[in-house]
Amino acid sequence: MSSPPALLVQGLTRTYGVGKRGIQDVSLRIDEGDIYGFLGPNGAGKTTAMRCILGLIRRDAGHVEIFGDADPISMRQHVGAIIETPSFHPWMSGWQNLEQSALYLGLPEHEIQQQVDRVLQRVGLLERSRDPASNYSLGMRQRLGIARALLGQPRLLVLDEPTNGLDPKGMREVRDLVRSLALHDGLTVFVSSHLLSEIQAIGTRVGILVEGELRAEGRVQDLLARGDKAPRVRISALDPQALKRCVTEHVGAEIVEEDSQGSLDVRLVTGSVPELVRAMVDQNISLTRVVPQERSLEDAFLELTS
Amino acid sequence: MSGRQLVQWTRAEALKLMSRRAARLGLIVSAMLGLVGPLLVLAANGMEMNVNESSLVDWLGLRLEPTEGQLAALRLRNALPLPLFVMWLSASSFAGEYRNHTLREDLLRPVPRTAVLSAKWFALVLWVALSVAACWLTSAVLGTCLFGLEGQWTTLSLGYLATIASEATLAALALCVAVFLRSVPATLVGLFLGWAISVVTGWALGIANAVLSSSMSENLGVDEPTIWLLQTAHRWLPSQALWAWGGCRENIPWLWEHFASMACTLAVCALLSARRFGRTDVP
Repeated sequence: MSSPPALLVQGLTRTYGVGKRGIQDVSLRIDEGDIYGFLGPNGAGKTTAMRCILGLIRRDAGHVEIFGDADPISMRQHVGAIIETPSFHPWMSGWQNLEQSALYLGLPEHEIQQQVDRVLQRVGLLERSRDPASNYSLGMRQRLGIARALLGQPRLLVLDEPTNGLDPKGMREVRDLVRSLALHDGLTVFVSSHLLSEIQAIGTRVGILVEGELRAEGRVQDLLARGDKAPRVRISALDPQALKRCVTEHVGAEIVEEDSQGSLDVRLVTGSVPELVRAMVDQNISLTRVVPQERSLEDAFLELTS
Repeated sequence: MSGRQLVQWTRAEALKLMSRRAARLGLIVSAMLGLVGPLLVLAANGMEMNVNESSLVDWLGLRLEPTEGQLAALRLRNALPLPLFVMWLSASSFAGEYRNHTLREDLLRPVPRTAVLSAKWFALVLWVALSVAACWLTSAVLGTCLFGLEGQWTTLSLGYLATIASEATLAALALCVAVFLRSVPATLVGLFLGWAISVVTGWALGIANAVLSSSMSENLGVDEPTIWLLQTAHRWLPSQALWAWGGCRENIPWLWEHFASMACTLAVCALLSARRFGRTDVP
């Protein structure tokens, strides 16, 4: 018998009344070991969907199972979650906040100290764990939130915009941590993010939510293979005007984008990159850079959401 | 939900509550009031001052007798500061956490919502019990040193126990209002409004009782059950019931209706809050 999916959502619906969008008939499946990227523009309903799944808000319809457990309370035993920015009691230390959470988790007395230390060590906060939570930076709070989510050794990690509001260093720390948790600790990760490059780099499957509806779902590679298959190339030359004129005259090529330095993003409707380069050389254009562009998750995302 | 789980969840809430500076300060204030009570009795008896043609001691009801200091401490403690503090602590325990999203973090754990509410209430009752015990202990030690060991220890201890019951009911009431209003200031305003309504109703019932009693004595056709009903309703009002601890004072009887009213308030609050919280979206 095959093992149950880490998360199974069927027909999840939540409406907020007239004029306010919720989510409609969202169904998705995350298998154990997946890193599932949940994408969508602002206000698409990603957080609403995650809250519905975790039982923080009521659902009008739908069915949720986590590792085969459909009980709305006991299913949360398998989950560690961060919804939006993690919140802490500011007057308590990081350690006390985690101890309090471990008590709610029902961990036995002898395990609390051990587990709290272990997760703090895992996120690199053990040395600062006795400081009041109010003294933590945003990045540290995010890591403390992840540490709290890791208490009780969950099998599924639900992260809602875990890098939101962080500076580049904080974003990198959190991203590396999530990647490491998935790859080394074997956790199944369900993560929503605006940062498509991140999801493309670490995700195995994605779902794209637009206006409360799941528009696309599947493996990252399958999603990238969909849609516009015409090759694209980024070209720069010593004489940008001549470059632009030549590309315009070249049959089967169209300029998608031009930056302030005169570099062109060219889409080849027909023909190939070598043919285009040969045509440029024939026109005595001094090329400085030719970089083939791979279709990114951002392209797929924009196609689906625009 | 097993008993062991409930104990553990209550520990989680107690840890949160007791680590708050304000909660610890409240315990200190309660203990200090325990010292102020006996000192006040001593000071009042040393003064030769008259108020409304009676001595200050008689007017305040502070006689130089054993255990009178403990009673004064209890009256001081329950006059306003601590019940107010219990209301604020209870309101912020729910509404404050709802607002700053820490309630959400607890609900992400495998714990039923009713258990979260119960754990909060038990932790508040624990705080109330500690605060009453602190007041009792300091007043008892100082009172014994100043006035000796004689006195109405049993009645007085019952007064302290009744205080725990009153404030446990007040905490449940505040939690219930907070579940509905989800804001600390709104909860406090709601509680004061409820209190005012109860007090005004009490006055109205008292006036009606007085009028009807005089009518009955003049044989104007008012029957005894009506008077009984008015008096009973008056005793069941929350504003009356929450002063049940007053039974430990001389000439004030213990009334079972006060305790029954508190039990009913507790049950209704538990029912309403569980029902409402079960349907509340937590941001």
